[in-house]
Amino acid sequence: MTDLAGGRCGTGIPGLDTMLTGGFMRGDANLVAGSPGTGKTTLGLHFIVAGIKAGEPGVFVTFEYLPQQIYRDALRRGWDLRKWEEEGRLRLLCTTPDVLLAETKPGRTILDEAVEEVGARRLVIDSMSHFEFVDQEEKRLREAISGLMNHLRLQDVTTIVTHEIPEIVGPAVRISNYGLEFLVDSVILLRYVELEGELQKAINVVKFRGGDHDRRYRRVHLGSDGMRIEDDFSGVENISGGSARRSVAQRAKELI
Amino acid sequence: MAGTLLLSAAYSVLVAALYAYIGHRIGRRRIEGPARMAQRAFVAWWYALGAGSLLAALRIVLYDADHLPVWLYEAVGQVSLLLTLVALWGLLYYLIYLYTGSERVLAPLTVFYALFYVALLLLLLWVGSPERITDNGWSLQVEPEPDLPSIVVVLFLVFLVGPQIGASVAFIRLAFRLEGRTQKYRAGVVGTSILVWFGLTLIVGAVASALKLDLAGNVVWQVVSRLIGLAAATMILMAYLPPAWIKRRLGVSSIEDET
Repeated sequence: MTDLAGGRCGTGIPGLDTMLTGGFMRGDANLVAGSPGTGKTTLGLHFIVAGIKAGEPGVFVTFEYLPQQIYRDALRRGWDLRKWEEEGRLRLLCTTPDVLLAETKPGRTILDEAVEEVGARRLVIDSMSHFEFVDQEEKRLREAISGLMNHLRLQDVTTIVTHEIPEIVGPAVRISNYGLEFLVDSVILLRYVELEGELQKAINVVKFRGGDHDRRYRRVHLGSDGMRIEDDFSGVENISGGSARRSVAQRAKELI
Repeated sequence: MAGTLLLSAAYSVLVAALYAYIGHRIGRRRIEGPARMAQRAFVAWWYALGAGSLLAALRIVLYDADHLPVWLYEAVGQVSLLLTLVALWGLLYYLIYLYTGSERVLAPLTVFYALFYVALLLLLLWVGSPERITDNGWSLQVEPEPDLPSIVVVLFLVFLVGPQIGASVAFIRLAFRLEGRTQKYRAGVVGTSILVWFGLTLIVGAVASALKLDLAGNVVWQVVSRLIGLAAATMILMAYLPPAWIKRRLGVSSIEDET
């Protein structure tokens, strides 16, 4: 089940939908930020696949991977993107930020054409980090991204944009240089947590405009079936600092 | 052997047995991961205290049997000192880990106490050997008494008694922070017992020193201080192995239920 409530847009990951009390708000722009390898692209694919299965076509824009890599990785999880593309339910765009922002016709970009072509209701842009390499000053870049987000909202397309956090562990001071986190409606953080000598993946909903959400960090499992949200880190403190440890109360249970 | 000296030795043996038993019971808990080292350190604290108390009894027995030459007295003293430092190292590491969850302090703490032990041995070497061993009816003493500079005595007290006072306060603080009844009860009882035991000894010692009172020969203090020590050890035992009526009344569990 993908759409769990009216006006909500299921992510395809049941645990994440629960954290979001039903999924993303329909038509919102959502940011998934995280360290390398924490599952940003996988989360984006889940979102697109869930939409296709629910009859909502999608567009997946990648600046990082070749289409063959995306097809291959998705097929491992049982998602035949190539077939869905042939059926006109998906468009996979492998491009660059400059091309994405450039207008092919007045008021229309390559992205607009792709969205219109399949009648997309869902969009993933992976990853916005590449916009930082665009030859534009921060203010103009922020305006361009803000314009893009508003444009997508007006088209009633629910969007996920991903962004890299270079730090593997430790506190993340900010996500992007141009304040992407302020331009979106929700922010989901995927981080590595060092806990007792082991790097674990954690997810946290930092911001969710217009709705209640789970504020706890939860464990993330990435496997052959994709992403799974597991239990919370109860009894663990300093997760956002990256070097988590069990709380005094938890240690006292064992040691006193 | 004088009756009081025998009583002292018996007291030391009894207290040693209590400490060793507590250490044994705590050591039987199954703990995995990084907390294991902290548990071992806490067990080391109890065993080292027990062994130190047993050595005190052994020294009295050897003295009474006239088999305690000065060199043996000194050697046993050096081992006792080592045991005291091992005990303090264990207690401090246990508490620091409990509070912070960090294992990083283990190596520096070990190096510090190793250096502290070497410093104390050098101090003993500098003080020199006593001429003979005597007793005051309750414990052994040496003649002539070492004439240590007051700063050395203060530092000695700060490093040897200070951590135990600090640790007891830390335990009591934990009792207020924790939620589980059993953990609150244990932390509270252990902290209060150690605080009363060492704190009272320190305060009475300081007051006696200020008033120039001879505590070593004071029968009342010798009896009371041992009763305090025994009561504290019994309380600590009851913290981990509470009798049935305490378990019922306070809703706490015994360490036996957890092993």
